Amino acid sequence: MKTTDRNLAARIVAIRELPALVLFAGLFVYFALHAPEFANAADLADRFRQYVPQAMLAVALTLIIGSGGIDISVGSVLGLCTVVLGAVTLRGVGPAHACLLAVATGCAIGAFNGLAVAKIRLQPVVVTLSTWGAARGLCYVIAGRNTSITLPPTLSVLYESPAPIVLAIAVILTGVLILHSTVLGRGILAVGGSEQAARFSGINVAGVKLRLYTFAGAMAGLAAIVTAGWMNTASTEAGKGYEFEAITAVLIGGTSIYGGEASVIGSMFGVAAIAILSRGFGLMAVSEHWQRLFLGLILIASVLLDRLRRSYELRVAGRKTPGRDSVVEVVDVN
Amino acid sequence: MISSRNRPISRVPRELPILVFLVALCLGLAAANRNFLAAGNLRTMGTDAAAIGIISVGMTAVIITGGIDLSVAAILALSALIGGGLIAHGSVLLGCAATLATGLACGALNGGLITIARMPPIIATLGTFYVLQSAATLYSGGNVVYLAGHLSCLGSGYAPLAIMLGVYATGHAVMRVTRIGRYVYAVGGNEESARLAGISPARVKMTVYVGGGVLAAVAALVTMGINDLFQANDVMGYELAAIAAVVIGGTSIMGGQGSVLGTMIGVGISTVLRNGAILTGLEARWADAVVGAAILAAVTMDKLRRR
Repeated sequence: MKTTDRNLAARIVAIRELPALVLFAGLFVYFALHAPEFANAADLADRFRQYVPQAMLAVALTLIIGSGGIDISVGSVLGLCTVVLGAVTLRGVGPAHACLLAVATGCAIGAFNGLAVAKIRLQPVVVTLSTWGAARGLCYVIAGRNTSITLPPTLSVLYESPAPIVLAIAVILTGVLILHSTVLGRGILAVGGSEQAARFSGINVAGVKLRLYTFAGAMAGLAAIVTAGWMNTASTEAGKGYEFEAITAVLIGGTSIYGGEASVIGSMFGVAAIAILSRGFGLMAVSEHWQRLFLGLILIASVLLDRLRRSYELRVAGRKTPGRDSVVEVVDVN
Repeated sequence: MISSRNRPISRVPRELPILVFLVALCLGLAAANRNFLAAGNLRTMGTDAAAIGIISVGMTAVIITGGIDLSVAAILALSALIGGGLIAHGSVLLGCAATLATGLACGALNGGLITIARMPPIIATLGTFYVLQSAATLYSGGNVVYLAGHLSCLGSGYAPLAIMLGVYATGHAVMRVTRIGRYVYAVGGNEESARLAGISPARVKMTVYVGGGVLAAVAALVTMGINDLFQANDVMGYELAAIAAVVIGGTSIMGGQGSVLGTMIGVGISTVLRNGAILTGLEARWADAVVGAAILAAVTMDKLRRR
């Protein structure tokens, strides 16, 4: 009897998306009860649409954090791509080409991060902290006096169409497929579990990392287009703080900051919870600073939760099988 | 990565190249602009450098243990606003004590998350950065605190420069002479062997983050003294500037190597560069981009030196 209890508990703990799902459901119920206008479907859908950029960044960050790395620069890179979009539009480039250039800019910065991390073997924290500062600085340099450029209506028309949602779903599916059905996905989790072991088992560690950071740059470029469509302008301030929201969503979603375990769907629950939080707090006229404070606490709490889960799983694994080697098994794909 | 640590590192002091660069920079600027060496300009530079300079000392120790602190600017803001309110109403000593106590408590919070909860420093301090920065804005309601000249003794004339140099002298002595200073290097060099040698890495890290918090509070007092007013957003980005100064100063981001002296030169370089840019009429908007590039260059150089 007792063992089945433990099995059940272990199985519940093993659902890594659970905290994000609980947070999402809890906030939803709370706001639905306390803010009468909250459950308005059209407004809610509108808020989710505004969080499409964060969702795209969160997909990329899920993969990067799952590989044991981190990318703090995504918000600033998003800003830079937006400014590039605006600057080339100002010089008469059509929307399609401007969007391509924005994504190319993102890819270039992402590849730069990737080369520094994978080839020069610098620490991801430092590399992306530098590009975080440098990309935001470049925003101001490129924009000059045009700190907010009005864009042609094409992008905002596209934003109002189902296009952002379709794009978001495509990105999420890509993330899930990469993680669970490709060699690259296996490599990501292997590198995150133990870089040395991954190298010894013949995985091209540098190649995995280079692709991941470039992917994150591309996602920042795509997200920049959506952001520009939403705001109808290219602003030097675009994407400020998005990295924080995306990282928080990823960590509450059950991806481990220590690498080796990741869930794209969990991250999406995390983004949804943050979107609901911003709408609910907005309706209840709570300052955005409270919201950020709350998010900071969630970020810290989710890492603590991850640690607790790890030590619990280690304990359970230790009891089930006497051999200590089996403890390594905790680094599971699920 | 570990094996490259065992190789002998060249005998040239790691601070020498950047010191040469700083001197060359100063000579160049002095030749280009007569005002550079004027007493007034030196005082201005000392005042500009003070706050970032002071928090950079704490950041040096944090980075030498292999950690990082993204929350220092937020600690500075929160402790300034909590103490500043009291100081503005005339209770100067109580206000200063409150500022220092806030800094200490925030540093202990970081230290607790990193040592007791064993969170990676980057995530723990990213979390506290947002919590403390928001708390600072909420506490002040976004309003400006006016100090009514109560702290002007800390901010006028050469006082900021003197306080900064005092902090550097103390920091240098602590890192070179005392036991805890040596422990900081030991933990950063190899945490496991430090532990086997009987050092408690948790206690060393706790000390380092608490020290960083207290120094942020000292910087808060100096900043309030200089400006005579304070707002939650005033010091945004100081954490990046401090990390830049430390890394440019030759402290290794991988931990275990570096010096407070090097950081002082790093602060000097960034201050002189900014001052020179203003004197020669360059635009300030390049600043962020240059700081980011400088960190990358310094880190790459450190990596190459280790190969």
